[in-house]
Amino acid sequence: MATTALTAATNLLDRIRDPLGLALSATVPPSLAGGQAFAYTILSQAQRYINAIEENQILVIPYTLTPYQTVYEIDADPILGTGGSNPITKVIGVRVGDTDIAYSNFDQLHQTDLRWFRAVGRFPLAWSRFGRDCFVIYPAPASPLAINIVAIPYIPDLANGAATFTVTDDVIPQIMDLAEALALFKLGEYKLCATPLKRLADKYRKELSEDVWKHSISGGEV
Amino acid sequence: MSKATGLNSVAAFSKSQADQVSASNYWDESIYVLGQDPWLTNVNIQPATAGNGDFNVESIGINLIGLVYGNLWLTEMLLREAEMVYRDWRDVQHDPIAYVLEQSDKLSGVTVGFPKVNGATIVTQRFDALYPDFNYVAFVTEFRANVPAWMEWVIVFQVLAREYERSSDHADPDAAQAAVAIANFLKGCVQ
Repeated sequence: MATTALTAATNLLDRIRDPLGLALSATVPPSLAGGQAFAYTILSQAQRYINAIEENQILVIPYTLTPYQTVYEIDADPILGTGGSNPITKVIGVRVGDTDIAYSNFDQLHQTDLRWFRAVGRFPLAWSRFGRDCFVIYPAPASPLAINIVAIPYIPDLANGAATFTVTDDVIPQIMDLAEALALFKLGEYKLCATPLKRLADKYRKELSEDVWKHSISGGEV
Repeated sequence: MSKATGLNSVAAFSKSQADQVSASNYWDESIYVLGQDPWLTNVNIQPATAGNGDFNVESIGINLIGLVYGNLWLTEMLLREAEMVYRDWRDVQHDPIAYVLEQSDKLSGVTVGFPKVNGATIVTQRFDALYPDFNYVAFVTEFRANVPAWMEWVIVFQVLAREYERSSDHADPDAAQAAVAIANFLKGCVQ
């Protein structure tokens, strides 16, 4: 049975020992309603980030390729971008009809074909990502082509207590852990944040301690 | 997601302790640092001039990933490599086939070979059938104050980490460390 936002928020407030929601509340004066509202905000974001790594919920979005175009921006797109009709977090696949198009590393495109950027063909042979905000279809079609983009959706906010989580119940524990860490940060319990974060880091084998000025994508994939 | 929304989240998590001017600067700095890796990427057509192999993408990007001339992907070469292939590589009489970056900024350089014709007029940035040919296309990481929505809280917690690390009446190494850990975990989720 889908978990409701109110149930999760109540559990969250209990976990951070703020059952009246006064410490978590972002409103003035603090109130239970304010605490629950901020809990919904935290739980909404936690759901998105956990779904991004779990790929628990994915979306298949119809999309039309533009003739002769190989590179497409994501965030500026009216369908896929922020505020679009089907906002996404990440493209994870491309299908033409029932055929999955092979994924290619971005470097492999120019290693295979130096003229890939304006290459035109009858059927897409590969898709790739250029960074996290562009995707590539190689080669481009000569006429508009309907494809399906398989993506991790940008899950809408949990608007109120009656809203239910989009993800399945088996990932709710990870969402609650992340929400607990975020809520403890809001409360100023910085050392207590480490415990739920460490559970998540161990589960997903992620590094937590890193110089905040240094950033790198593992594998160096473009 | 707009920068203003993100800074509101910074204020909420810092219980309004964060200085808004500093937070705004840290927001921009976080995105510039992120530009060293291919997160926020873009493809941008730059005009090419006949007889001139110089290019400069400093105004549009943080890091140059690749360069296309017309429809050809240009190979990046080191200066010594270009000299080994052509002693007079700056005067090679054919269309660009490669480029050499300036050692100073890595955002400008010279192509090996230079355009024989002026590039088509760039009215808008378009890559369909009306693509303005014979121009350069720069593949760059870019600065954007308004980041994609899925990236918002990654930047929020990077800003919080910097805010609590700096010398202030609310400096808190524990808070900074927690913010770093959260930021890195969230970044790992959307990687």
